[in-house]
Amino acid sequence: MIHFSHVYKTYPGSVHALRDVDLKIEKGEFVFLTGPSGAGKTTLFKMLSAFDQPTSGQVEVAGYNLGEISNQEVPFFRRRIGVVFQDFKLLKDRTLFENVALPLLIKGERVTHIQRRVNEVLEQVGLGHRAHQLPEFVSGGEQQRTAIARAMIHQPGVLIADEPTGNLDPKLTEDIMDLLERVCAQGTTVFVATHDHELVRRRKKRTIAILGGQVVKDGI
Amino acid sequence: MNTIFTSFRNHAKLQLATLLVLTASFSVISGVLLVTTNSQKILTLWGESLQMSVYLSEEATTENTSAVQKYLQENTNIDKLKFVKKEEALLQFRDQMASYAPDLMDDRDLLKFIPASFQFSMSKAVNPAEQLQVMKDLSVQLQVQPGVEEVSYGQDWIKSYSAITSGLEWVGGAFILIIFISAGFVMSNSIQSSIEQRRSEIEVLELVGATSQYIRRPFLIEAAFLAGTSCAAALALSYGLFSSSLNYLKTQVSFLQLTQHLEFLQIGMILGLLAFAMMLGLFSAWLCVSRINTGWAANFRLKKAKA
Repeated sequence: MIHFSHVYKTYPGSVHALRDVDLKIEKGEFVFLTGPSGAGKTTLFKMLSAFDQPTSGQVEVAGYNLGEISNQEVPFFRRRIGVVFQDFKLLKDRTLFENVALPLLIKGERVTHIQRRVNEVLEQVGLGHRAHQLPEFVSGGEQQRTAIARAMIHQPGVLIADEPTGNLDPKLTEDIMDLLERVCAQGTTVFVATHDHELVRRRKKRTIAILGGQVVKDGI
Repeated sequence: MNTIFTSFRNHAKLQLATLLVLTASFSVISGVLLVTTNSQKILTLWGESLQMSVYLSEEATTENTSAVQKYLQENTNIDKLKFVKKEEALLQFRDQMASYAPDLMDDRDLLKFIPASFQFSMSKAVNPAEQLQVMKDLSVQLQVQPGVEEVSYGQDWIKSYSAITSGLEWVGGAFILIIFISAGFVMSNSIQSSIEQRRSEIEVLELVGATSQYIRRPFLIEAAFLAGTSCAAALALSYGLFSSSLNYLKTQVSFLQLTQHLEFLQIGMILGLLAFAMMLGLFSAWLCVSRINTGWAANFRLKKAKA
C-alpha cells in the first residue's frame, strides 16, 4: 500500500530532510511514525499526501508513483487517501456535516448518498447529535473526530494522520486512537505520526522511528 | 451561489466599492456608445435627405444636357432624378429670397446667372455608410462631362461632420478600451482579495481531492456575477439619463427635431455589452486563480513559512 524506496529529500541550502528512506507498509496495517521535531516526519507525510516530491528515489502510495505524478492526477490520488492534521483543517463557516460531506461533494456523488453516508460516519465517530454545529462550537476532540470522519468518508485505502492527538488531553487521545484502530479494522491502512512515546508503548503496534531523516527503528 | 453570497458577506465593503467603480466604468462605456451610435445615426439621416445638384454651364448644348441626363438615368445609385430649367430655378430662388430681398422679384437679369440643373438623391440601395464616398466618386465623374459647370452635394459640412463623428469613434474606442482594462484591474483586485481570504479553504479543498477547475469555478462565477450586475446597473442608469436628456431636448430645444431620431442602445448591443463585461470578469478572475491555485497551494504556504 505504501512503499518508499531509497527516498532522499534535500531542500535548498543542502538541508537533508530525508536520507535513503526504505519502508513498506501493507494493506490494513496500523503503523506509528515517531521521532523528535525536525526528524523528517512532516516531510515524509507531505510526500505521502502528494504535497511534496522526493529529490530522488520512489514513493508509491495506493498504486500511484508520487515521484512522477502530474498536477492533473494529484486530486484523483488524494481521493484515494485520507489525511488528518493536528490542527484539524476544518472549514470554519461550514457545519460538521458539511465538512465531512466535502470529499463526496467534490467527487460529485448524489445528494441522497451523501446524506446517508455522512450521517452513518458521524454516528460512527459519535457526532451524530452535533452534525449541524459549526466547528468553533464543539470541543477539540470533536473537531478531530470530524476531521477523521472527513478523512474516512470516502473509504480510502490509506489514512495518514499527522500528530492527530497533539492538541488533545489523554482521555481524548485514547478516544481518537480507538477510533483510528476501528478504521484500520475495516481494512484501511493507518499511518500515524506522533511523538507521544507513552501512547506508542501502550498501543503495541508496528513503529517506525526516524531521526535526522533516516529510519532508525522498524518494529513493534 | 452560496460561496458567492458568503464572499459578499465576508468582504461587503470591498465588494460594494468594486460594484460602484465597475458601475461607473460601464456607465461611461454605455454613454460613449450612446453618443457614437446616435451621432452616426444622425449623419446617416442627414445623408439620406441630401440632394445632389449638377449645374449646367451657360454654354451647355441640348446634346450635352441629354448626354448628362442619359448618364444619370443609367446610374443605379441615383433616385428621383429631376431636371430644373433656368426659369424654374429662378422662380424657386425668388420664392426663397422674397422676404429677404424683395427687389430681386423684378430683376430680369438674374436669369442669366441662374443655371439649369439636374437634381437627384441617392437610391436606398446605397449603403448609408458608403453614401458620402459614392457621392464623391459620382461628382468626380460628372465634373468631366461636357456641359457640366459644377456638382454640389453639401460636401463641406458633410466632411466636417463625418470627421467629427469618426474622430469621436476613435476617441470613444480608445476610451472604452482604457476603461475596460481599468475595470479588469478592479475586478482582479476584488477576486485576489477573495482568494486571499479563502486561501485556507483552497488548501482544504486541495487536501480532499478537489480539482483546479472545482476550486476556480466559484471565483470565476463571482467575477462574472460582479461584472454582469454592475454592467446591468450601468445600463439602467444610462437609460435613466438618456430618457431625461430626451425629455430636455423635447421641451427645451424642440426646434432641433432630434428626439425622433435618437434612440437607446439596441438590444443586440446591450446583450453584447453584458456578455463582454462578463467575459472580462471571467478573464480577470482566471488570471488570478490560475496563478494561485495550481493544486499545490498548501505546499507553497508550507515552503513560504519555512523560508
